[in-house]
Amino acid sequence: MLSLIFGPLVIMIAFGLGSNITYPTPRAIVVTPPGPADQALMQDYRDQIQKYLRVAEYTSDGEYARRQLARNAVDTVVILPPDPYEAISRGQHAEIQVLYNEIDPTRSWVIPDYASSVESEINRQILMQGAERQRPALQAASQQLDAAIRALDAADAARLGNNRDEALQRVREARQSVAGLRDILDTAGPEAGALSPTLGLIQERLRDDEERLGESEQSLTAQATVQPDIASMRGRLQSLKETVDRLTPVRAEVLVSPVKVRSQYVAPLRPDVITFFAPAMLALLIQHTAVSLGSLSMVRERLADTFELYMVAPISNFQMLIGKYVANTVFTLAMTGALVGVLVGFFGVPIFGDAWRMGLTLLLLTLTSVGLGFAISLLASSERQAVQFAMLLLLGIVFFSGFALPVDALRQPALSFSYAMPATYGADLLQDVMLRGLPGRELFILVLGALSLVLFLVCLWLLRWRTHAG
Amino acid sequence: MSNVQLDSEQQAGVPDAALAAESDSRKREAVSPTELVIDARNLEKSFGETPVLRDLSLQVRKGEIYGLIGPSGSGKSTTVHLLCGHLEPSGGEVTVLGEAPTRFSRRTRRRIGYMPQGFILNLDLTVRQNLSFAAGLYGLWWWPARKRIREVLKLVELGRARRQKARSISGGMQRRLALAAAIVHDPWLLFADEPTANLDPILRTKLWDHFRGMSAEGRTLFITTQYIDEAENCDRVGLMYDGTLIAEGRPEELRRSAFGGDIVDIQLESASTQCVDAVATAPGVLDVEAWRDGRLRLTVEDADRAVPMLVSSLEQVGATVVSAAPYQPTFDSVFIRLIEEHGRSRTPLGGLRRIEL
Repeated sequence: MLSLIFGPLVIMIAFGLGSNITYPTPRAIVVTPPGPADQALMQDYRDQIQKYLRVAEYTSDGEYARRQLARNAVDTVVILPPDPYEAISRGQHAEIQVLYNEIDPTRSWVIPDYASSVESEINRQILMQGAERQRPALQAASQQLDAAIRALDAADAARLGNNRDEALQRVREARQSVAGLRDILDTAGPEAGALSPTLGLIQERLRDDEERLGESEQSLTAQATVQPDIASMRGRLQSLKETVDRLTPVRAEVLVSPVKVRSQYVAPLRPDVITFFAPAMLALLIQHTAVSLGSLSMVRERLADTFELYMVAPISNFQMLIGKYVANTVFTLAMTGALVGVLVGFFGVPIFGDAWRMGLTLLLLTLTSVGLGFAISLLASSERQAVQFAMLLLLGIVFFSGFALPVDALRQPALSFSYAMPATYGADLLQDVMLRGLPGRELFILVLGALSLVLFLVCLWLLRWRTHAG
Repeated sequence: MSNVQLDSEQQAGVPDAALAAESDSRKREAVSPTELVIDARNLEKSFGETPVLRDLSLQVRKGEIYGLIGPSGSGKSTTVHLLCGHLEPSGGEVTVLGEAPTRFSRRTRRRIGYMPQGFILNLDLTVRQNLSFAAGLYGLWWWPARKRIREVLKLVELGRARRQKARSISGGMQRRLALAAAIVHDPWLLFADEPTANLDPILRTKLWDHFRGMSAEGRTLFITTQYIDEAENCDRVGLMYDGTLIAEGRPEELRRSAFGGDIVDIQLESASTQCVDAVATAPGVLDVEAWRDGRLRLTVEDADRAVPMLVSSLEQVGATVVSAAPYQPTFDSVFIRLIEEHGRSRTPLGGLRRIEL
């Protein structure tokens, strides 16, 4: 009996003290491209990879790395591309290959997740470098736009002074400045990084503006009566300049990651593993203890014919059941008190919520679990079967009450099992009361109360059935 | 004993009026010796298709010790279960203390003690704790229970073992503990299923003394046993065999019934045909058995009257009588004979089984 009740307790404590739910950093071999490579870039790669992976070795022998992976000497192999900029310039992704062979489904996500983080970080670095490189181009572009605007101003003044030749000359100068600006942006090329969309838009507008300036030039050359709309052209270039000037002082880091998420933890406590699992473990132990005690107490008396004594004695089934409930509940609550003392005093688990609310939760959980135990006891045909039922329920609690997996991660029919366990409600309520300082969900309190009442009535019916004269 | 019961109940908080009424009732019951405490008529019990009890009729009067004797499997325990309300009869009618056992009122239950055949108390509790538990079941409060527990512990000689766990005491001590638990509330009617099984002869004697004491106080005892010699301790005995009550009566009546009369043993110096003829023709002689060693065994109507007459008849024919006295056959032989006669008169269901009494 003691081993049945306290065995799981010892195991749970050992589990709580010894378990580590963080995954170890995967071991990796990094395959660098053979031959000469951009050393600065390779160093960037290494720096980023080492943030997420434990690099066991750098090698240029891809086959060797694959063999090491195949014999599980490492967790992953990372193969770096020889020249990423060359691929980018061709309009293709520069591909970093990540090979892994994790067969554990609960951990198979780790390498892809880390690889994704490496990918994001490297991309960010490349974008930052590209953006940094564009800064001089933007400054030159601003100067060119300045020159073009000034030329247009001069052209407009000459046109108004009927100096057509001067105007023509200035328009040509403006057109050359715009053409020069386009050349500057074109040479920025694929490394434009984060600025690429903006620069693409600017280039498009410049192309349009250059055409319009060409048209103005032609109209001035042909002595046409139609006057070029130099003011409109100036306005467009001025707008373009403002856009370029806005981009120029912005830091590359901001350009690359314009939006940054800042998370803030606002719960009253950031629990460690033991603290987080303490309420669920408490619920689990209460249910297990009460069910084990209840299931054995009745079945033992039933099979030993002690019920014969009850049938002759001046007590009703109701009184007998009440007596059993009181005895088992008092014992379980005493044990629960000791457990709470250990959790709070020894493990430092806090209780932020209302003590009465916690007491009510513990009482209802105990009553429901005792009822469950009695129901098993009255249905089981032997002590062994009762123990088996109790152990099955223990497994059920571990898997379905939110102890091993969150309840909201379960699907049917597991979810139904979960909500058939008193410990599911108890763990949720205790977590709210102890760790969040909340009163817990009213619905769950009501469900526990209803379950305990229904189980009492079921047990009373089963007891009448068992003590009915055959 | 009745005083103890009265004191216990007063302290247990039973209302005075109810107590007085019950006390008066007991007195009335005590002066009515013919009142039937147990009245079973044509009881039948089957488990599925298997009949285990057939046409059982018995009446037990107040203050009687009724012994139900029979071999293992003859239906004794089933009868007790029917009388206690553990089982519903398949046929017939039964009342115990005026009520159907399966519908005993709480008051009636308080007046009944039950000692089952097996040990059904808690092995992990001490002797005293088990008795406290039994006292609690019958509503005895702490102080009266404490006093009463001391008395029954003394009676069953378990005082020294009161702090021992039931698991650690011997089988005989467990039987005594079970008996103590059955009488801790001082019942008016005690059902004891083989109470003396596994007990040593001295303790068996003491228990029977106690049972007779209870009976003298007007309490009724219904006791089953496999020890045939215990029949002599009972006021009336029922002999069960194969689910049927094959004989019932006072022990002496059964003895006479088994042999057709009293038995007289006569030892002669030498027996002759003349001697046998002399006793066979004597008045009141029903049967004569002769042995070569000069011994005669006679069945007579009345042994006390027959012995002097037989001695005189033998001396008249010149025989020398060494001894002549009534013979008390053992109950073993009485019951063997009764069962043999029952076997001759009808074949029981399932065939006659070899039994050892």
